[in-house]
Amino acid sequence: MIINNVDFDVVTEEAMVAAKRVANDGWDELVDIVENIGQSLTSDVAFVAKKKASGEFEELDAKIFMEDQKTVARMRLRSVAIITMKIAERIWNAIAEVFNTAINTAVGWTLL
Amino acid sequence: MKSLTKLAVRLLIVMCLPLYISSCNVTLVQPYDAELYKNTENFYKKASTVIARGMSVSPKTSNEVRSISDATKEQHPGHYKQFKRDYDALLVENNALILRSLANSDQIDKMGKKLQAKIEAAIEKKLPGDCDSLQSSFVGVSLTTRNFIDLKCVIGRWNDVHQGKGSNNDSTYGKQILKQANWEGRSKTLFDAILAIQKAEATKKDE
Repeated sequence: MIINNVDFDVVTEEAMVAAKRVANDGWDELVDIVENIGQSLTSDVAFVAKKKASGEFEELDAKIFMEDQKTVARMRLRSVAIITMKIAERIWNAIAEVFNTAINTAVGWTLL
Repeated sequence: MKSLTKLAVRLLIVMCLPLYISSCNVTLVQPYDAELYKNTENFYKKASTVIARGMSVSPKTSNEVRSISDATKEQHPGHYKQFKRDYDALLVENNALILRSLANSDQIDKMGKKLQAKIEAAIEKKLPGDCDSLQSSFVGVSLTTRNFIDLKCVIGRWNDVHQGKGSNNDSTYGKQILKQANWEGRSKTLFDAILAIQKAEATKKDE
């Protein structure tokens, strides 16, 4: 679709490139935190098992530690959500920026 | 494929045009706050120092804790009385983090606030706990702020456990003295919690 010499098929391609770039940047952060969740859960279980074997932890100590870790799990979920929403925000804003320029050019007024 | 692209473009234009009056940009999350990031790091350093002291002065086994006489327990360097000021100071610092975060909470747009409220409801439904009552006293705050509220809940729980109080039984056998391994567990908890908070905050930083 061409409006006043602005090819919106090209604009769409540009928007997709912009979106892909910001998505890739954020994706690495998300992978990092998800990997960290997996590693930490394994490490928590190993920690409790080690302390039980050495006699440093009784059942109540393990329960208290796991209660703390349950709260940490909530915090991690929130962080994953924040990172995911930030990626979505960047993708949306990157697309909007490309279209802002294109629409202004096509219409000939600074509408946006 | 080409007609699909055309449709997508038209949809975008149709969707965006009415929104352009107030700009098509969205703010789904609380913006990056360099001061909050720095203060969180300082909080970690202070809490870690308290934990390191706890580890160095506390007995290793439950039998060692039990063997401390009631008459001398309050003089023990691992007794709650020797840490009360530290817990109080950490709770004050944590409150300052909540306040700092709250100040930026309203920069999220309507769509972001709705999304965040739904996510929080899902998290509290899946992982309910003793932090929910503290969370419920804050209405309409961001997920960033909610993480600092849960952090305060953890510090408050540590304070209670050291006094032999809390939702579980007394793990200090009436001595109000923790074991080294309890402090070691706290060290892990603190590291994991701060890492989660800082990772999310750092991601918000625009290049």
